[in-house]
Amino acid sequence: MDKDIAIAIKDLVKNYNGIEAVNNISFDIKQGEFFGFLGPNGAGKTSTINAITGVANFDSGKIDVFGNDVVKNYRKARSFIGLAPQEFNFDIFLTAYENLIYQGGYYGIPKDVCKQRARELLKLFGIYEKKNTSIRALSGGMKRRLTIARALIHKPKILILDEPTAGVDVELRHYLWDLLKKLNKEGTTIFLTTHYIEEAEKLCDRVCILDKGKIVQIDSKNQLMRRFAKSQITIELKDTLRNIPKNLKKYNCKIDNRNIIFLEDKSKVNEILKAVEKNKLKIDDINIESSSLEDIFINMVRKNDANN
Amino acid sequence: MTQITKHSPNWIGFYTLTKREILRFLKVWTQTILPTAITTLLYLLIFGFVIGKALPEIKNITYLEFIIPGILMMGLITTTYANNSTSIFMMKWLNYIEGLLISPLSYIETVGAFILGGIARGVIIGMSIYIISLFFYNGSIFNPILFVLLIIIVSFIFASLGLITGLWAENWDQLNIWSTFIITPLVFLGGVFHSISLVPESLQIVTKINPIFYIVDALRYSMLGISESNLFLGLFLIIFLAVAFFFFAVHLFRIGYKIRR
Repeated sequence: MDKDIAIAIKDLVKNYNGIEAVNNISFDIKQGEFFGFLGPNGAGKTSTINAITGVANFDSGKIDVFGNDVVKNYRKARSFIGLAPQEFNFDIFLTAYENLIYQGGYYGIPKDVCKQRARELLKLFGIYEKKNTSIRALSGGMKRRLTIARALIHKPKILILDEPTAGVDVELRHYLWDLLKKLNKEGTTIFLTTHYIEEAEKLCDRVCILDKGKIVQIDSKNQLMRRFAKSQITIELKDTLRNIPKNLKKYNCKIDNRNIIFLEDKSKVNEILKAVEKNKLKIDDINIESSSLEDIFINMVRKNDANN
Repeated sequence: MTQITKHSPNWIGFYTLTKREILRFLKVWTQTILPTAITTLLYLLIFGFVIGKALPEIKNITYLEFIIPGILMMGLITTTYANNSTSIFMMKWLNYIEGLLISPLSYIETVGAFILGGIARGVIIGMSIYIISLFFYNGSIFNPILFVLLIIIVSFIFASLGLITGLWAENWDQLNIWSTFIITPLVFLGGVFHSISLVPESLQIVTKINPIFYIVDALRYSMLGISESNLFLGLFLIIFLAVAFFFFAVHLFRIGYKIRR
């Protein structure tokens, strides 16, 4: 077993009432990686997380956490993981601070260490002044912060975040992104599920796109961008052009009034400009658009839907 | 990060969950301890003190003294059962059971901590009922060791059963079905308020197949030194129920019965 593999999933199948939520997926997450798990609602992201963490049983397959089977050696496997779930699941009869202390206790953290750690985390997440507040009195944003703080109470090697920025304001979102980047730099393996593709684009090293319980694509973010990103170079001319000049016909391009639109990689922009100038066409403006990870994601999911 | 290994016990985790379970009922003692104490007082006043005066002695024991062990056991059974069934059901209902499911607590540790919480409440209830009963009898206990052991083991049995039914129940109605239709009738028909000798012979079989009859009778023996059943059968039954319910509860946690999606 490769000790650098934080989570190894092999042939995972999870059904709910006969419906396959997760359909035979396999992938590894390396230690120290920032791994993004993307997919539309109902893709099977949360089901996969639940299977890894012990919140759900699974029908078949195998999951190892640092080489520990999550069924046979569940205690050891669970001790490595901190989970920040999508749905709030606090003990509503306790305060924010007590929720952290009890969770730390379940992980076997001595009380004094736990108290110290809870105070640090509450300060880090800017909710220290709410430490003795009942969970019911906390706002959604505060609960979200507390969810992540609780996941970190035992200093886990792996942090699993299920839609961590769902429903939070922009400021908090950016704060959380910075914090997650810092944690990852310090060595925490992060497994993030999100349907905010911008989030994955900003944070993740590697991305897995999941749809209808199946892996559509899995690769490094940069590799995905290289393989699937499309560019559009639009050259706006001073005068209207009727026909595509001969030397431009080798490019994938079309005319739209005064614009020549090239569906070519942006690396070709210099070459295209030279070719345009050869025709003594006067250029008014140039616009280059590249598709984002979001465009790639949407295209892949649509393609997958069409194939099914 | 904690150093959890495959076999080392998670004592801190076990202690944390046990403490949580105990503080849970202590925080709301006016709802969890006081009502049983008041009900006991009323039972002893009305059935024992007022009505009991008109009833004949049973095996040379006044009716009031006769019902004290029964009432103690009734309080103990209903409270420990309710304690654990409600606790686990609330955890499921409000979904904070996930905090336990993801933690490195073994299934035995988890069940053990819940049961210990139930026993703590059982012991407090048992002691409070005993103290209240001191207003009505001299407080002598025939076999104190057996008395304490029975309080602990019966709390253990019904805390385990409460855990099992709390896992099974999917809504409040289902949660109440067991206590209303099974536990309460068995308790009332188990000789809490009456001697089996007062039951017509043809119906005594109903009492004799009721496990709570043996439990109540064993406690009555430990307190008053009188018994109407085979004590060895009773003790065997009590130990059997404790072991069976405990391992069944552990099994349910292991398979994630109605708690893991």
